[in-house]
Amino acid sequence: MAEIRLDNISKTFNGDQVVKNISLTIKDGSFTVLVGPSGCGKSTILRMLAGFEQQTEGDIWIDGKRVNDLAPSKRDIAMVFQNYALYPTMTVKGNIEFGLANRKVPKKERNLLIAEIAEIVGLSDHLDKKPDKLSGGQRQRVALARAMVKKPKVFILDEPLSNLDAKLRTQMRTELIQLHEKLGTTFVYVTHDQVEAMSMGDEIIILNKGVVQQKAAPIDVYQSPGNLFAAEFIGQPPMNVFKKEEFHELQDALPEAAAYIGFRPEHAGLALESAHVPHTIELESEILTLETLGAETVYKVKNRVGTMNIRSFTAPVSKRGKCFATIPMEKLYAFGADQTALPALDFPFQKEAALNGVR
Amino acid sequence: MAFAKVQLDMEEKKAERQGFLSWVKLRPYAMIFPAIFIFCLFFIYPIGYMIYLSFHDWNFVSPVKDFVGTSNFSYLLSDRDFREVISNSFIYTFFTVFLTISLSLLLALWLNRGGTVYSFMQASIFSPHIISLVSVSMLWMWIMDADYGLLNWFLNLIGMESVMWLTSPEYALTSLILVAVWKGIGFNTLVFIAGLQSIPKDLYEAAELDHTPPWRRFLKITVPMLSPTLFFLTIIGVINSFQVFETINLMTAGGPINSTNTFVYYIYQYGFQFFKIGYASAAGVILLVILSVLTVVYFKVLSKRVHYR
Ligand SMILES: Nc1ncnc2c1ncn2[C@@H]1O[C@H](COP(=O)(O)OP(=O)(O)OP(=O)(O)O)[C@@H](O)[C@H]1O
Ligand SMILES: [Mg+2]
Repeated sequence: MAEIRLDNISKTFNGDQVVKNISLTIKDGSFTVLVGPSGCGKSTILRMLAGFEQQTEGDIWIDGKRVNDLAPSKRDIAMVFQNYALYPTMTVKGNIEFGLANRKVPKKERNLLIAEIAEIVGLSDHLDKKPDKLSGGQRQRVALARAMVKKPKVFILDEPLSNLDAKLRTQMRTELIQLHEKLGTTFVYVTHDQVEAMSMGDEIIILNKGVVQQKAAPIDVYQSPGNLFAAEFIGQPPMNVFKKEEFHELQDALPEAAAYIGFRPEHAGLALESAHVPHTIELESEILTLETLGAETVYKVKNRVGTMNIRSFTAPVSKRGKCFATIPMEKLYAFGADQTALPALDFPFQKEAALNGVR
Repeated sequence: MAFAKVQLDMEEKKAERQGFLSWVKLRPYAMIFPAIFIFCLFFIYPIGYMIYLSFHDWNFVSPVKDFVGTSNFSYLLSDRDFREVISNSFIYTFFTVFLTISLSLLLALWLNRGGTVYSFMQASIFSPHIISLVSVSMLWMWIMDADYGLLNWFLNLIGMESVMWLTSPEYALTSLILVAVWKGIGFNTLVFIAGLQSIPKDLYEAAELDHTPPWRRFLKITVPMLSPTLFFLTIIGVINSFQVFETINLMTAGGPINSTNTFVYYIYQYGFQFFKIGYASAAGVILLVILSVLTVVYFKVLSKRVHYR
């Protein structure tokens, strides 16, 4: 168990700064997810944590100890690699045992530990197989077992589920969450999949181009994104964002600083008839495409503001063509010219409503 | 009428299809025929002819080949020179392959990194591989010359006695092994470097997190991951060394006192200097048997331990 602290960390590869002055604290025992698009520096940060990469600037602290000059093996970290990096010439048992044997753990104790771990990850029947005879999910478990058996202070996992099919991924997601609860160790988990990030982490760190965009609990990231990037990265489909000028009916109500206006697809509605609901923006639109996903339907519509996604949980509109998109004003987000989020919008009608006790 | 016409059309189609079908069946054989033909002409036929000759007595020119049964073989096996040839061949092969492989592996481990110095070293170590064996032999005959050679000059310089590199029975075979190792090391090193580079880096990172000491990392990760390369280089090395000829022919002519005589040179001597073709063929057959057995043993025994990805 350990708290991890990054202090003004930067990393430069051949004059190319891929991690830019990051400072953050990963809480002891938390499940922290680093999420961001491909190439944003997630793996680089993990590798600096593990000690495979030396940071160009800054300090790394693990469990209150500065580890800048500590070799990877001395940091008490276990890592699950993106492609597992199992030793292909050893059996499952050999893979799990290797680290223990290196540290001269007596044979008896080793066998006990292996049996225990194999039971936890469900590999007891496969201990004598070589990795190439295992399925993707089983290999992933071997990688986990190999990491777990060392009882490290920190677990770091680099996109461990990206090679699995959708069903197995969901299953392993649950198993990892349970594993974290059982072990109580600090987990640092890297992914580029925002669904994974939302569902697994108790803290999400959103990265872009080597800069932290936001660090918060999943629900906070969703409900109050820190900036445009976070707003557009989290959520499926992403938040609809437009220039402030497109909504001329709002001009007086919006704060001076606002430059962009956004709303989540599921907060907007779709109607065939104009209803003139108060405090709602109504836009005459045309349906371009619709994706029926079973419980929900995602429409792509075009109107004078631009194209936007609308997510609806009611029965799908069967005919394409003209319709009305409705956006409740209180669900709007405003962003400044520098793309950072502005405080929640404050419309006069909301105050009235609050006074009247209606909501 | 119309019906009959349709039927006729169908018949034609069927005939066409049958012709097509038989071509489909024949095509693989037709296409492989040239390869089989060339293989038979240049491999199977000469081997068969060699086996045939090994039971006869022939001197290359006489029109008759006398059948002599197995007497060529029995004579060979009782020949002291031939037994020496066999032991020379095995000694030469074992030390050449062992030294080449272990030195190349060490060099590869050392040179397997980026940077101009290492690229330059790789290129210079590889260069002997592209020099013809004849030039190599001439070069080393000069280096190993007992009176004017570079090696002895150097030995004298550091205060040691001259060595009769190629002219004494104790050292001649060792000298030839030295030349073979010098010549072979470049190619082997290059193949090893390629093999090392195909080992995923994250295996070593995982090993580092597993607290693996360097020697254990080498034995448990590098060697097993290199086993296909090791296997390949060993087989190639054994087959090549058993058939060594040029250096022996040019540098020692099998001497002094038969001390560097090996299989192919022995066959060459009996075939083309003494014109005892049947006898030379019998030695060839024995070489063929030894090489086949070695190869089969390698594939059977070693391949079980080789890890192929
Ligand atoms: N060893 C290296 N040498 C040079 N550049 C590197 C090196 N490692 C990473 N980079 C660069 O650093 C940037 C960030 O790489 P990184 O692997 O951290 O991305 P990532 O966020 O893990 O992406 P992905 O989701 O695709 O794994 C990339 O532009 C990459 O080209
Ligand atoms: Mg990565």
